[in-house]
Amino acid sequence: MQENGRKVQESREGKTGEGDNHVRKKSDMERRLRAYANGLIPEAGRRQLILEEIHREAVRKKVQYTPSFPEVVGIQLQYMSPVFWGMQGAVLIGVILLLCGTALRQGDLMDYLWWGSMAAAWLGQMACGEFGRHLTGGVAELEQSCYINLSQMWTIRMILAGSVDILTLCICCVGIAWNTGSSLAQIGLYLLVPFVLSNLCAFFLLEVMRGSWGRYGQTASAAWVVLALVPTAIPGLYDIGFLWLWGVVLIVGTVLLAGQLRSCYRKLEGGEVVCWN
Amino acid sequence: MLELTLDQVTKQYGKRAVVDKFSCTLTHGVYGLLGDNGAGKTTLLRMICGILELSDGEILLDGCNICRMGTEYRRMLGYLPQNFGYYPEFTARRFLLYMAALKAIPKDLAEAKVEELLELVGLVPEKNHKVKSFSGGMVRRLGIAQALLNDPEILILDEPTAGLDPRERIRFRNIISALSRDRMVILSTHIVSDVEYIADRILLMRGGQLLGNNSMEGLTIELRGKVWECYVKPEQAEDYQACFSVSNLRNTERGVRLRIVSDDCPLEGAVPVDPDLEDVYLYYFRERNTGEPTEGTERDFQADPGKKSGKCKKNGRR
Repeated sequence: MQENGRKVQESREGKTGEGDNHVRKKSDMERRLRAYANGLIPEAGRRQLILEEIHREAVRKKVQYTPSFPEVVGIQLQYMSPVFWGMQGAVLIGVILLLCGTALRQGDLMDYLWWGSMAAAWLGQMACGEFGRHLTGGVAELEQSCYINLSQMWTIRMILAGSVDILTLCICCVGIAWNTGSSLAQIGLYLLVPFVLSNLCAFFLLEVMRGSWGRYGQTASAAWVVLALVPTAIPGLYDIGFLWLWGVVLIVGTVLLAGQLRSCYRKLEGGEVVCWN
Repeated sequence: MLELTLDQVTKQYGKRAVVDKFSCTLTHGVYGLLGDNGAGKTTLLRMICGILELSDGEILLDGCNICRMGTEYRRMLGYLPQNFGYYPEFTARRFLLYMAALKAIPKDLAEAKVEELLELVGLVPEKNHKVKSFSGGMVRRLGIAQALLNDPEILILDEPTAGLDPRERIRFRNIISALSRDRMVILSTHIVSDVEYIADRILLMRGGQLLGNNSMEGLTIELRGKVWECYVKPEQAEDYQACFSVSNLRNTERGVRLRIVSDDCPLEGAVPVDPDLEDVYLYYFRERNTGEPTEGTERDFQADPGKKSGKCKKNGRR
């Protein structure tokens, strides 16, 4: 019994001894961990320096931002010349007023086509005036080196200006067709021809004149708008029998315009238009 | 670290090569492009910017052709053209915001960056003034600000200090030096001192070709023993100028002090002096412009103007 009691006592003492060891080890470990952790926490001054360094790096960090197409369109809308939009608006209002005025006077088809052709030709010239602004200001070279470069800007501006032009022409066509009882396609043909040829002429002049566009381009534009009235001096040309001729001129003009635009873009990408002002 | 490799870059207009097989590799630091008018510096910079098409050769950024990189290359580019154009009706702030938009900088960041750069170039008081009312120096400063908008990794500056007064030039030089720590800066200038102060390497360009690519120290070491100083009588100074490449002429009490760049001792009593970048420029660009042989030209000069006539036997101006 006694022996058993001693064994139990020893066993208890042994367990207690192990327990003490364990507690000692644990507290030792804690002490070491705490010391290690304390070493990890920088002192206040050093901490401030590190935070400042992190802040500097965060500021320096480049933000790679890719604007979406609507954002790019928004940028172009924001920075396109207000004069351009003012003139586009003026043409649109002018077309509506002339439509109403001519309708009130009960004018015939030629009365409508006289100013309709002029408005169509003027619309074509106006967009080019906006593109010419880059070359006249000498800022084209700089813009071509940007993320959104000049070719992309021209494309977007062409879409924007072209949409407004088409809207104006549509209003004009529908109004004239409604008031004269002519077919919409026929009126469309009569108005698209001066519009397309005017664009062709304007882009050709822009490519040739480049930086001189500002000085001489406007004069050339005015001359072309007047030229658009020439067919109206020969009323026979607007007979149904000559519709094929208008069709041919439109097709040829469109093909030439496409070629002209291609040439402009090629020279823009090659640097010829941008660097040789 | 970015590496821009120009491999046999050539630009031809008709049969005339404006840039002719130009090859070099550029990494971080400031590269000063030095050359005469018409040497092809602007054309080369335009090609590096991707604005002008190459007739031959290729430009590679870390092994990738910049033409194929397109927008990603342009994103890391900052460019100040020689003829910096602007929209005259824009205010300075609006112009910078416009350029920030074209450089795809988010609007909120752009506002802060524009203010920071206006401060940097000292245009804060004029930020709401129209650019058309700016002086030449102010326009140039605006140009420098727009080039830095996107914090470019490759900064290309064509004649950046043209039109700046000395104080602005010093400020600009300090900005470039500070910026060059972790980016590539290529600048072309006629102002030799600008390159001397800030360029880590100097590219000498003549007739569209790369004439030399070395550090400032390297170039001056090459010229050691080829720059001389001597004193001549005032009436003889003009003759000496006609015969030698004189990089400096100053009237002193001892007579006219000439600084002559020459392979050989130009005259008795001339002492060799330490060359500077202007001497280097004169050595490389004067010498070859005449197309005359360089050897023996100055030896024909009657060296001692005190004893002899002081006239050139052979008017071998270099």
